[in-house]
Amino acid sequence: MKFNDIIDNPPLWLEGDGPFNEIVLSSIIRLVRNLDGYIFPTRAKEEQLEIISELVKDVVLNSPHFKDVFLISTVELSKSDIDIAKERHLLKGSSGIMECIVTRDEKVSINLNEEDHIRIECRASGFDLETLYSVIFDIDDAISSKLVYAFREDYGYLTSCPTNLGTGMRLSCILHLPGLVLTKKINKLLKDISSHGFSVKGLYGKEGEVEGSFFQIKNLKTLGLSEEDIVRRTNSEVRAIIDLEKKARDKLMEEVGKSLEDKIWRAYGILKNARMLSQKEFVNLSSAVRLGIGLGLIDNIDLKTLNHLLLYTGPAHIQRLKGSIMDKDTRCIERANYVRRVLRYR
Amino acid sequence: MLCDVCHIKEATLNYTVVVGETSTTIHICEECAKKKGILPASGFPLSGLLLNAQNRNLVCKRCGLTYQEFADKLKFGCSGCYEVFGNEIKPFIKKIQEGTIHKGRFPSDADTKGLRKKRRIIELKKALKKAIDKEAYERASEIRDKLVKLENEV
Repeated sequence: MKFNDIIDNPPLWLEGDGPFNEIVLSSIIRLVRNLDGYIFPTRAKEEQLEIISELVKDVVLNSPHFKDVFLISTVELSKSDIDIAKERHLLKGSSGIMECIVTRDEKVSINLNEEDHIRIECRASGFDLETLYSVIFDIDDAISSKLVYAFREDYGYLTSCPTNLGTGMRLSCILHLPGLVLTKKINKLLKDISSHGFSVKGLYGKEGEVEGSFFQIKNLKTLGLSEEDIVRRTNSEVRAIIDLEKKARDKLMEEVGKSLEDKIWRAYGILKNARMLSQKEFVNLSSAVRLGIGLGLIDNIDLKTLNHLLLYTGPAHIQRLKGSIMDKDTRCIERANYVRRVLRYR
Repeated sequence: MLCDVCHIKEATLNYTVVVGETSTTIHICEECAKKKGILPASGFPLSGLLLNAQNRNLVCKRCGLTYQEFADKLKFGCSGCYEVFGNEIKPFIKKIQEGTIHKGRFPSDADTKGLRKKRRIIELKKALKKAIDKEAYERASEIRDKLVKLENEV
């Protein structure tokens, strides 16, 4: 399998299906682990990192649990391919050698030697933390049956950052909350979420800005709670948000239904006809169309297509279409061309 | 609300520090904020809360990380750091986490060290105390039998 084989196909977690798919774009679970007896990557020497990488790769690539996997390494990728891998959340760091073992469908990825030796991540479409939970611990068990993790009875799994201690487990959901944004209930909600031990931030947009009403919610506490506790708490927090978003959408339809419908169809019209689209504009317009699908107002495009567009209109993916580095304006033109091409047949 | 540092004066500042994905709010009085270098802002303020004259010079022999470096970046260098800085960081960990004792899974090799049994013993001791408080002596006796059996095994 080659890198291009991976990126030519959209990841399975962007299928647009799964429970509450009209509000929850995807669910993510991540485990952080370090190997016993080895210095953490932030202070380890290059030769130590190589040993760790070899040890983990040997286990993962030879395990029956990991069929059809591919190793992404910054050593072998061009700068633009690294940017693509980052847009797909496969690589996260910014310096040194970065490696990631990923399944063909991109539902499971294992990053090596970032802040910690091992970071396992599983993703699913929609709201489905429980399935991910069982998948990720099968993988964790497979690795820990061959390699010894750094672990202490009191602090649990030892991690580079004290915010990951204990279970080393982080759950998150990407939520689309236009109802709460439009009814101006979002700020109070964000405050409440933070006081319940969760962090929430906009998925797109610079510091302090939120584009497209996409939010990512994560649990903050990893120590002093069991994994089941964390899953239960996150499930109930996200469920409560989903219910609030549904109510907000109902209220909008009741009070300003026609003008909302008008805005949604206008957004669709712009996407279908624009000659230049910035990423920010695309994210916002497609957010309106997504709301239209959720409300049953628009049916000639589906969530899967919108999700794929969200990924493939990222700057690195747009550049890949032409195979050359482009300035911002050219990217906007290519993005608009691409979106028109995809929507023409819908 | 009293100051989180001196616990004497009224806290007049809410100071939020973002570390990785976690944000921690400290309620602090003006005097302590000045002592800790939060007012005026200089350097990484949280280091003021972690550092004191005694721990400043602690060093992890395994990876060479100093406690000062840890306080600046809040990143450990190896599992040995937890041994060396363990006591110093406990109050900080208590602040950012739900507790200071792991309640989750064990790695498969840790299981062989009897960790699961040890945790069960702690749970049973708690249950025993509860049963005695409630004067449920029959239940207490059942728990005590289980405890004795487990303690002999460990």
